Amino acid sequence: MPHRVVITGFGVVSPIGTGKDSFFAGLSEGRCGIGPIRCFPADNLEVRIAGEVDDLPEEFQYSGDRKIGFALAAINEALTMAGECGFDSELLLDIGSSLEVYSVQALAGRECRITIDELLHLNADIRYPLDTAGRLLIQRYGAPKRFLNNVSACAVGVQTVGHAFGMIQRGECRRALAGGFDSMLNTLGVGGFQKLGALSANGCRPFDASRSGLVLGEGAGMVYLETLDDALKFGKTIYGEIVGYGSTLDACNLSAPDESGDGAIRAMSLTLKDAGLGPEDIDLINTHGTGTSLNDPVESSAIHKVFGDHAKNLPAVAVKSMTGHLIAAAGAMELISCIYSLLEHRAPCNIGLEKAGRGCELNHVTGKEAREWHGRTILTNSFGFGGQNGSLIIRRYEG
Amino acid sequence: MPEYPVYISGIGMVSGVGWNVTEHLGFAGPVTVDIAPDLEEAAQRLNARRMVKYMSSGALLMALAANEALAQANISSYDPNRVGLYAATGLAAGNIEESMAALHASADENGKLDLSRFNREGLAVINPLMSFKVLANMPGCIVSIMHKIKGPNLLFNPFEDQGMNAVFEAYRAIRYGEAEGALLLAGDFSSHPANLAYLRENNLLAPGEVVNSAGVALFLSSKSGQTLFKNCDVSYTGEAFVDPLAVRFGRTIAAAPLLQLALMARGVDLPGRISAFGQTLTMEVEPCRTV
Repeated sequence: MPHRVVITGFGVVSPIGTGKDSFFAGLSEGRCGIGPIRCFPADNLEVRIAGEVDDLPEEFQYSGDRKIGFALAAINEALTMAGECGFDSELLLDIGSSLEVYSVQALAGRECRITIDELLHLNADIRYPLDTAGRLLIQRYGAPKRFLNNVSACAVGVQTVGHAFGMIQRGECRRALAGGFDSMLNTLGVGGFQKLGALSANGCRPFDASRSGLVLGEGAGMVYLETLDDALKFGKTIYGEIVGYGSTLDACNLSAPDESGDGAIRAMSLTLKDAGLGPEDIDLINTHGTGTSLNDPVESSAIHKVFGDHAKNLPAVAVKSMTGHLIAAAGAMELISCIYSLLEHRAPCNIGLEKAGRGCELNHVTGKEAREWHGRTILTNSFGFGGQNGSLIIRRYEG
Repeated sequence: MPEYPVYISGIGMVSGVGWNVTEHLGFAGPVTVDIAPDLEEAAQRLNARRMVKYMSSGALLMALAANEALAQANISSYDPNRVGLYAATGLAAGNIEESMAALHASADENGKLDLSRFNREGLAVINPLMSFKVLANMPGCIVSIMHKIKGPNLLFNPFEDQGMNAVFEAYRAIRYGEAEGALLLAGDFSSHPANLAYLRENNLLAPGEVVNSAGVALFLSSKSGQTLFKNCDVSYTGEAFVDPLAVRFGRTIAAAPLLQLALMARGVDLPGRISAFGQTLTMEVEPCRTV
């Protein structure tokens, strides 16, 4: 028999609040975390807004690469909440982020009419490989069973949790810290995405008729997973149970979703099958909902195809309307917003939605603050740039 | 829960010592200087002009190795939804001339970097396709598009221990029936000057060690193959760094675990063990013929 896998701790760093209480309050209030970029000079960029974290405790701040501090803070909170103080040989460290940082900001005010040799020498000081946070965590908390450094872009958060779920289910490890952390809020990150034409200069309005692109955000989401048996044995608080996971590739287009929605449909269908559930068993859907012209109608159509008539009644949440797109951190941060719904009996609202765009019709949770909700099972989607898709199902633990 | 046999039914490799498996098997070594395949020739050999413009140098090598492996693997006999993709990539390798031009364009009147100028003049000289070349998931996604691979997937970065994860996860996917086929990939352009500088200045290369930029691909299958991939495990052991191929072929970093598995599968006598950053991968293969 596969082990049942539950969440006994979580940590979150987000533009609407750092730490469980602040993040949950932000979701309840419909707080907007998107505003002018302050963490680097962006005055003369075309895109000058983002979802920026401004309340990270000083002890976790990490100069050079902001996302590393976010990972440290979220892991610390998840471990503390789970009543743990370190890693061990039964714990999987399954985390990830997306873009190696080359800190141009660190060169500000320095001589820059330099030679290639001088640049290469500087490069060793100003670049941060993607496994830097994992190595720091191992230094701080000891050796895990394995360290997986996932780089599946926007799908990281869902993939890491889903992968760890499978490992624990099969008895390959007993517990895991899984999730994502990210910040592209630097000159090259925002500048590079701006050049691709992917960013909105106005705001994040998932599924709205006036949506104009994604808004970058930053943060981290980490969950502590373990077997139900261990959680009960040690008297832990259980915040939710992971019951299904699916992962697919579009294999279609590098920068746009497959218009047929095939990859998204298969991810959601596989996840339902993995959980042994039917579409009617899902009480809430957390959409990927980026606010781009292509993602939102493709995702809406895929939800209608998977859920059929039930889609009309299925509340659809779009947390990115408040936080922006946290890229590798999005999936796990949004999974924690699902935990919020399970614990607080409320569904976060899409604060950017006034009138659904053509092809974007769903039972959107609208308004300016979270709406009362009394369900027990939530499906959450993450669809990555490059065509990686993942879905998870989390359920209220009821014994 | 059912378990399935894991076969290796296709192998491809490209590095500074050769363009395919045969050239690697015939190479006695040792590699004594940092080497890499010629990228222009690699692009010509790949013959996929539309995709090449999105590819980093590591992605190019990965895609070339994938072509060789899949030419042997009869991938058309698999349901694309049941073929997974597991890959490891190395440190990002952006265009250094472009970086230099961006910095020079961003100098103020005293020659100091002005971030406001970087936002305008600096970014203006950077190719809009830069993001595709530096995002670590792109090489795997490019290969998935080229070969219509649509199944489960995991991508890792940037050193040997993450290459080990790719090997083990591809093995697991077949072993536990998550996929019928799994394309296992690595692409690491460690000879890029910025990567070499990083590796050397952070003591990630021992004195005298050299790098060899490489792409490696293996197709794993539950159906058939020339080699049985009998056992595989990875765990944190705290062992010192060991790469049995480093002297003969140079350090291939993220690609090293796959190169080792591929050569073992082709009958090269190697210890089935590699360790880096305290993590250790063990592998056991056995010749067989199921086709």
